[in-house]
Amino acid sequence: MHTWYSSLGRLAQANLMRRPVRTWTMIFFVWALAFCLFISSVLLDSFSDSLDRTLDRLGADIIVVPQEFAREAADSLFLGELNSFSFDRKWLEPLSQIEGIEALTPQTYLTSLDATCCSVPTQMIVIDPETDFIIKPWLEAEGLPLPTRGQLYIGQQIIRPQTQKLSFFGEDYEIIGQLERTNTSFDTCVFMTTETAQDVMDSDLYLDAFGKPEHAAKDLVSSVMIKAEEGTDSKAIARRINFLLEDAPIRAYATLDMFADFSNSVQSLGNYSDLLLGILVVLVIIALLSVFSITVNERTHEFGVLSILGVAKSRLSLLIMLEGLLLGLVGSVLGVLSAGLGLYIFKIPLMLALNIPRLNASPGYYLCLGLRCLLFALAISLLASLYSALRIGKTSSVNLLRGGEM
Amino acid sequence: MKRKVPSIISLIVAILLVLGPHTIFPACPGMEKVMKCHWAVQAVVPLALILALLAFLQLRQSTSPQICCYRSLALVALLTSLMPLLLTLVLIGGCMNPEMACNSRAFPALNVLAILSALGQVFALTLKAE
Repeated sequence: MHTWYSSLGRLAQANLMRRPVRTWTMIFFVWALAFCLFISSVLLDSFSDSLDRTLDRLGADIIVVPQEFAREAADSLFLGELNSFSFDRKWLEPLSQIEGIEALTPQTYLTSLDATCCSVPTQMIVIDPETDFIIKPWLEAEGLPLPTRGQLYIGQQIIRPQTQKLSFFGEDYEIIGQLERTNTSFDTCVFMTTETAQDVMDSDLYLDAFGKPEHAAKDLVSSVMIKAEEGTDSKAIARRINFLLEDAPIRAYATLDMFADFSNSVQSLGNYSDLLLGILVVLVIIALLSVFSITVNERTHEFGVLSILGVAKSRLSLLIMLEGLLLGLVGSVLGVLSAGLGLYIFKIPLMLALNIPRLNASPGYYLCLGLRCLLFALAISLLASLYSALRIGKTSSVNLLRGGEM
Repeated sequence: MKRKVPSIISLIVAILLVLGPHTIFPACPGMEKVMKCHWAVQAVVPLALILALLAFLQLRQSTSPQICCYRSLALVALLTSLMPLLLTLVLIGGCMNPEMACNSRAFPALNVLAILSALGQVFALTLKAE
């Protein structure tokens, strides 16, 4: 037995299928809205999450780098770009005397080459096992030993060869462990001690590539990670460092400030995206509203006949809303699915083209976001059909039967 | 005419799948060690040949009043079109470094071509008998 709502549903479906080109055009508008909303949300969230994770993983409140290499340091830490810069270790002593600093640890950055001398082009981070508070906690938590001379820890994204050795500048170094995934630039780095770094710098191919270094590895520092005391203001300590060491070739940045450029970029991108999506929403509403209006005006006689046959005006309005619902449902489902699939298939080219370190791709996140985008696009479609639905309800049966514009 | 369009698209895609990875959008060059992306693009070649054959047969069926054979060919061609996606994303894949040629050029191009052919065949499945 057919109920009135199943009849209405089948009627709505038949109405839509009768005009496939118009129906698919309207579905396209909703598809475009859902698709763009999904993609832009993923890209913005990914950028924002990458920044948050990097800041969280660093574990440092203040970073001290050579004055002219602040940008390179941020690129290295956030984007994983290969950089090699340094300043004299002698500046560590005055730094350690500054009030408000709980702990500090130096790191040195070296780079390997994308050439036959090296297994992988990667950032080599030289840590000080005695003072380190960034890598050491991971190792201690896993019960792993600190690296010694000739040993490395590698980041999660570096392929661990079966030989358990990586070659840098023609010399082999033993891999003693692989760190867990951090979703930061650390995933593409190798970690070693000063003695190992000195061995790298002493190798013939390194000398051929970079020449004889002016300082030994133990005298070089690329950055100093500082943990501020509980309850202190990192920015204030950074300012104090810069004031007290005004003549030094180094500069201190609160971690948040160091990534201010990226943070501002994410903010700007978010604003652009909101503006464009807002314009898209308005355009889609107007487009759907226009087509619904044209469609309904064409069918006024049909609605008049249905009304005369006893179909209540409210149900005629519901019929229009049902058509809007069907269009919205198909368009939004297709939009979300195609966006999700597109992101999965083209994840890597998107990351490269937009310079995003990592793309959020967890199924749970996609599911929640997909549902939100689906509901939003569906709501827009229903809103667009509402005007025509209300007009039908307000027009008399006689006027409907006469046909023509409402 | 409408029935010929998906077949022509798939035929062009098949040709590009065979020739493209060796010319316009090559994968990583083989050095001392042959990377797995090389084998991935090699594996696409027989799939492309099968797709070309299916597209040719479908083209011949496009003028026939019977639609069932045309649709059967479209279904098989659809599945064949999706195989390069499986190879590049799941079964074999490419190099770990996202900046390598396979990840930045070859695989995206192969995936786009595969999707184009698949969409064409989806359209073919929706066509009615003339």
